[in-house]
Amino acid sequence: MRKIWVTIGSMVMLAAALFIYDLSLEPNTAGTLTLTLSEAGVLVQEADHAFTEDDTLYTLLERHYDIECADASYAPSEACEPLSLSGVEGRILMHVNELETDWVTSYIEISVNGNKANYGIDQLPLKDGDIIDLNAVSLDE
Amino acid sequence: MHVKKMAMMAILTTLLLIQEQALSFIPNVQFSTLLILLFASTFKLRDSLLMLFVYVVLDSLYMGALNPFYMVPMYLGWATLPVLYHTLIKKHENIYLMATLGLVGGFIYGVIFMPFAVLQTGVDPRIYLMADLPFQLIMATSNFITILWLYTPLKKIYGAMIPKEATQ
Repeated sequence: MRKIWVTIGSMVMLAAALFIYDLSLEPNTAGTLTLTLSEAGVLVQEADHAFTEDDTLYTLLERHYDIECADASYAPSEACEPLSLSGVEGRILMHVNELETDWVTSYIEISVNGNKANYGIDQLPLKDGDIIDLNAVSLDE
Repeated sequence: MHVKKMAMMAILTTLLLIQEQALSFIPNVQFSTLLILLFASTFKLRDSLLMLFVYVVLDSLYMGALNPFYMVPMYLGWATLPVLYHTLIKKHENIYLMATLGLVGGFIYGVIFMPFAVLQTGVDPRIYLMADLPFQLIMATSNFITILWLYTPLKKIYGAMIPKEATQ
């Protein structure tokens, strides 16, 4: 009986902790942002996109670009399913149009207004007028 | 080293790798911590560390990432469990203590990756920790629950199937 209560207690604590984490994330505002794609810091594409409060960077990318995200084995997948069953979605972006990374020797770095982003494509708060850069970085260089 | 023991270590290391891959569709949920503690409870620390070394190399080969920035923290993260077991828990083994070790191990495993990620990508350590926190919480809780419920019954089956001399 004690084990059951301890298990329920630990699951409730996990749910509460994840809920508080979710609350700590900044909410989105609607507007327009500029999205740039770069390869090793060299600009390859630039476009403006309107977004709503319900959008995330992921939904914007999915709507306007050809993207692939990591699956559970870190292989690129068009399904782009969130890598979590807990409510905290954590997609890892691997391909965006011509940008291609493999997660092992290269990755896509996200910057917002020139600063490295604190969150990934599912949690990053979007603000009107933001300039978001997706830069394919190679670790071999 | 006795042949029987070597064969046993090879089989158990394979089991560790296979279960991880079989459960890889649920991120940060696996029986690795449970099995590593189970193996640590019967093998010497040296043997446990050797099994983990082989496991990390095989896992990295399978995932196509023979990268020291992944392999070293992965090994250190897993090796913490048998080290803590042999230094703190072994003499007063208790299921709640074991489950707590699994819980703490989940956080340690995540934190050990931080300096390597900072070195490799230049990410701010505080940001890395914040982003990794939900995944550490999931791993720690799943470790706690799986050890709490499965450690004792598994150890009974394990003890019946694996002769003690094969682990000494």
